[in-house]
Amino acid sequence: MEPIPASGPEGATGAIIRLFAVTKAYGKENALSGISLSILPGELVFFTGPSGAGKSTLLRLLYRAEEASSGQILVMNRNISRVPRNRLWEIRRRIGVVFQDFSLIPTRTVFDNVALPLFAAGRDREFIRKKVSVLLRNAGLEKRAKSYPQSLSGGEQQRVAVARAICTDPDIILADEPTASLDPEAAGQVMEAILSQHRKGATVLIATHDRRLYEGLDARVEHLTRGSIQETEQNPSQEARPFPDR
Amino acid sequence: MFLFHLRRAFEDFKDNALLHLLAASTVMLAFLLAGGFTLVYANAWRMAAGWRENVQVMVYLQDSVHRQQASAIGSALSAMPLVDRVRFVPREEALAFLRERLGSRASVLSDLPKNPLPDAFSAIIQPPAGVSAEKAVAEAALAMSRIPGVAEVEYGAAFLKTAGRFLDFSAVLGVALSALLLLAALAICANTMRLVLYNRRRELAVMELVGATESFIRAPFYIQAVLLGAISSGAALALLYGAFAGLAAGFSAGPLLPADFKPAFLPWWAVSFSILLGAATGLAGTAIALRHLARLEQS
Repeated sequence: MEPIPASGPEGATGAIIRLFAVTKAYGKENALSGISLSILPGELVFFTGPSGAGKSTLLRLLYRAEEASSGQILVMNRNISRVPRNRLWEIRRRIGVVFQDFSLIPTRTVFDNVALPLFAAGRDREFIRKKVSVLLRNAGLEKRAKSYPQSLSGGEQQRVAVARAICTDPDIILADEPTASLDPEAAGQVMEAILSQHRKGATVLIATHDRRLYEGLDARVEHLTRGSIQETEQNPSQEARPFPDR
Repeated sequence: MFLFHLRRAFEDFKDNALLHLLAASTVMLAFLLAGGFTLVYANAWRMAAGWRENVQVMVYLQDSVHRQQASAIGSALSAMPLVDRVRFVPREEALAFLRERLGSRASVLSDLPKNPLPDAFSAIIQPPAGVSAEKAVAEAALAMSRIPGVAEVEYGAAFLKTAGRFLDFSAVLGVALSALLLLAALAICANTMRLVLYNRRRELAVMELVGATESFIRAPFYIQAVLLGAISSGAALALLYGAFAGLAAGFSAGPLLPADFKPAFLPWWAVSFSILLGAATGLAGTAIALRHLARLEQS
């Protein structure tokens, strides 16, 4: 495959995510137009831009919640559009997703919601109990373990969603407007939970229209407008870390 | 892991209690009707088998036959290949039997100048296994009628024939009816699981996104469907047994049935098969519902 000039670190060999001329169309409208970029392991990347710029669509393509109309996407060295549907779990287990609408299961308790990826990964009950307890304690939700999501505030629900996204210590964390509709204090707690995973080595991609989230952070910022990357702010302190080929 | 799935299955039962109750009632009704029909048919078949295995043939002798000649005819009858036993019924015994059956109206017999009934033999024929009872008895009766001194042979040919045809027709009807009921139960199971899956679609989507495998997502639905089918069919059989036990307690054989005939419930293997069939119905219904859901997701 002919390498296409990509946004991000030049010659990004060992990139954990690579996009080659990715386009996503809804009918005649292009949500994304020929996006190419590389993301190194351990990078912190923000996708910003106005509503409809394609930030959320870009993230959704990375865990194949949607399929690209054209172009190719490599995630952890696998062409995600060619992974059979019944094998997608192999990639998704290594990606933690924080959804804008939280996507918590209303009929499951806070504990069960956080534990879901661990149960899905076949971990034993004792491990799950310990791991989830730690996560809930860190999120300040240990007393809400038996509560149901609808009884929590928006900030608490998003913290549950973050705990669920990081419970498997994923290689990649995708967060779609994780602080939208949260007050500044709750937004700070949610961001801190995500960034703590980044400090442990996870690659973190965040879609947001709130520039306060990335101000002062060592992060790459990709500005999207009408489905295209218009500008890249690259902080040189970002260092490539070798991506373990698990 | 199985316990986790089992817990989720029971939570689903709780969350969709009314839906599951309606489905269980319908599946139970289907199995109750099919089981009831099978039970009646099985007992009717046993009854008919009793008739067919021991067919009583009455061999009436001509008036001119003396007792000595009658004895020779009896020996000839006993020597016939399908005849199990032969009993001489003298005309006096036949008249006494008739008088007894007529009861208060027996006085009409007093006016008769002489006993009008002939001497007769009652012969029990046992048709060999694998041979049509009607045909074997007809052939034996024909052979008996050719013995000199025999006036007439009677064995209820029409009854045997009708009973045989009725049972054959019932078997076809029963299989067709049971198949229809099973299809109805399958459709109900599939629709119930479709509604359960529809209620759970958001949860299923989230599970898929957090890396759950297809088997992990589907397992609880298969478990609850198997439980639903097996419990419903088991309950139907329990109800059927209750009704059967009540009816069997007051059962009397009556004049048409062999004295030792007792109605029997379905054998254990049929009960086990019914419960397995219930579980399989639930399983198949879930498979249909999940395939439908997968098609919807792909479209």
